[in-house]
Amino acid sequence: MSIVFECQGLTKKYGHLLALNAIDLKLESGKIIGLLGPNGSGKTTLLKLGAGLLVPTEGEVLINGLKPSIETKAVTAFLPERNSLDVNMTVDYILKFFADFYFDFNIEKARRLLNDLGVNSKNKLSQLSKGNREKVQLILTMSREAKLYLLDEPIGGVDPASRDYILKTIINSYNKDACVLISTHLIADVEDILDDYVFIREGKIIKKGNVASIKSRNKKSLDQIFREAFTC
Amino acid sequence: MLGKLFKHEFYQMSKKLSPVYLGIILFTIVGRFFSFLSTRRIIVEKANHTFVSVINFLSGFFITIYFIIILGLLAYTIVILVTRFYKNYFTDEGYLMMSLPVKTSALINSKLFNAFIWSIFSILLVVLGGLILFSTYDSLKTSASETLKVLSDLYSNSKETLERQLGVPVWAGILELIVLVAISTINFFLVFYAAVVSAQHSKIRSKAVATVIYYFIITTVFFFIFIVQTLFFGSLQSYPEFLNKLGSGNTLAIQMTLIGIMIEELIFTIILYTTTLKSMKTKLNLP
Repeated sequence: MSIVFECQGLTKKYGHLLALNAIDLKLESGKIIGLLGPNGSGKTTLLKLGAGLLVPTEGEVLINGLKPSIETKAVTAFLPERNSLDVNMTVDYILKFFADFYFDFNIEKARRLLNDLGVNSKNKLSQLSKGNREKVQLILTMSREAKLYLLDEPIGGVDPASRDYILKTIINSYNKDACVLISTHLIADVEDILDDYVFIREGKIIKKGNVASIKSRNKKSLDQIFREAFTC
Repeated sequence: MLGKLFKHEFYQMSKKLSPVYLGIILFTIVGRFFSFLSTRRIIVEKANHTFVSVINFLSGFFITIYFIIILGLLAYTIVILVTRFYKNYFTDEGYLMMSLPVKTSALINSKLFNAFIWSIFSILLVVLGGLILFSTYDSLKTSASETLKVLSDLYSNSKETLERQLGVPVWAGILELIVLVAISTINFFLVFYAAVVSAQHSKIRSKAVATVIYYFIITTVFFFIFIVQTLFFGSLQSYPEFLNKLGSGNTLAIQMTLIGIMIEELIFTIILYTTTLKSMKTKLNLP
């Protein structure tokens, strides 16, 4: 296993607001890690920094030992919380767009997943339901053979049935040598698929470790441990 | 990757502008048809008065509206080109575009090249529309040959005068003009891009309002510098003795003004491009 995602004294300020406070973190390949914390704890900021969408105020974030750059973007699959696709494009066009820019994009896999979902690739995104648009975006992300997957709230705002579909897609699709970092506050839904966890609050990591170990040590679910750790 | 970005941007722009272009061409063809009817002797003499009045009205109507449409087309092209820059990079779509494995400069260049090309297409369409609306095959044939003759006469008669005035061969003067127009067009869009980028860091809540404010600030500063520079080079013509010492009088003043404007535009372009690039690289803050 190698270190895929590393933060050293990573700090991010938005004006006077401290979003991340000197975070040190190392994440290994071959693992699914939950980045867990309440709203406004800095989860999205950390993922955006990893995706190269933000520049740190202090410290650094490294992907495969490199600062965010074209090289790191080529091996990082980022799923934003919002729909980032132009809804006037057809699904077919978006597939070609991804295939053009990402050498690791498996278009056949994406077509198969879309087919399973019952999405007609001739349709424009605007013709799909909100839920299906989110699933299309997830399929595009998970159809890459990336080294690092950064998934921002992939199950936030979707119905329970869709949550199962999304988690199943992540589990079945990701490159097994990659590191998957999932940010969410819906712990109960994801804890079964996680290898490791990182608890984050007010821009600081307050706890991290192996999910199986902490559950057996405390004889509680990760969700219960999370609730105890984050009780106001 | 720049080629791929350009290709996708060109396709998206063509989806937005092609229907408009097609509409304008159809409009001019219909306008030409009424104009054709209004000049037919058989209609003017034999059709009833109301019919002739309607045809005349429609012919005039299409010509008047055409000029409004031209202005509308140019404004629409600019608005689409600028809003696509904003929408692609600074709204939710920015999450996709900014995480592509491409250089930030390629993101800007693909938009700039497209802006340049679609501006030329729009101007060509205006010319084509004018030809359809105002000329017949015969007049086109005659006017084309006449225009060529006039231009050739003008060139041979005024070549020496022009070269004396410009201080360079005519072809070099035309080249200077083309370069100046090209730089100015790029500059025109870069002012918008720089305003959009600057507005993202503004404390003003509405980014649209902030963009407009930044646009006016940038254009006012550049306009002021342009006026000072033009006045300076223009005033040199009042000192022929000084200019004669440097070279050949007024010719030198014209060349200095032209090249001065070109250098000034180039410096503005570099400043605007660097500002946009640096801001997108280091201060990106998507919602």
